[in-house]
Amino acid sequence: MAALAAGDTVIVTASADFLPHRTRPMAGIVESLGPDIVAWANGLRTSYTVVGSGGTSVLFQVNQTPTHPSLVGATVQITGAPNPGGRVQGVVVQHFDVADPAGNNPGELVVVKTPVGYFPVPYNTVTVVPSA
Amino acid sequence: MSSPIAAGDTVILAAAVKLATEGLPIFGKVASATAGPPPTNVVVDWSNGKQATYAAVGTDSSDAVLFKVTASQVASFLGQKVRIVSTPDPGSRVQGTIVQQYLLLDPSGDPGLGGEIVVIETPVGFITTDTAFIVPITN
Repeated sequence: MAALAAGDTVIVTASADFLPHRTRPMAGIVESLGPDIVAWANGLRTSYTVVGSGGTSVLFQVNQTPTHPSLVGATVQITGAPNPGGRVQGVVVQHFDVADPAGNNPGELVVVKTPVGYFPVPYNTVTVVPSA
Repeated sequence: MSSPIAAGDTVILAAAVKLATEGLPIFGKVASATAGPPPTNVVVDWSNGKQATYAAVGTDSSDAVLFKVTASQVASFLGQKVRIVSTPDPGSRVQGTIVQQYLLLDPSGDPGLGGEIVVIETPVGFITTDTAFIVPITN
């Protein structure tokens, strides 16, 4: 992706750091840069003086049209973690590409809603569960 | 084409329709704005009681911070049970009921998104998508 610019969609990095959450990552739109002002989906506005890059990223920019076909609505099991028997399954409720504010370190995330919370995990660690 | 965002317009945050949202999108009413193009210093009173001033709101769907909300231009799907067809969804297990439907215009008044938006309440929460991606479920 290109470096962060006005109009880009972002999430806060912390919302994808630990598992599980009780809420989905919330989207924001970059209103302006320097300082970076973000208009969040709940009506809040936040000014970020520093947004970092790489491992110091505060924000991830988001491409809401992911590289792979969207899995939103698909039932999946998480296969990238010890999950014997695929017991913990869920429905993909968000699917997007991410990159750091400089546009580097791209990745593709899905957010899976399970009975124990939301799991933001890499796209390649889920497997679609076919119908019975 | 409609007119650019101005006082009295109903708006929605662009962020609320970029990713599937948690909860229903909130709506706001423009209290005041400096005429453009593009409009600037847009003061919005949100339905959750918050008020925010947006120095810049963008011009088109690529940089929009706010979208104008207008009435649907096609038949209403409100209350219709649907499934989402834009995704791999084996067996269409995740279905839901449309609880909101509206047409979005970008800040300059153009229908930049080129589509109608619906919000579907499903067993896993609200999913916001384009009407082009849904199929009604017949009885």
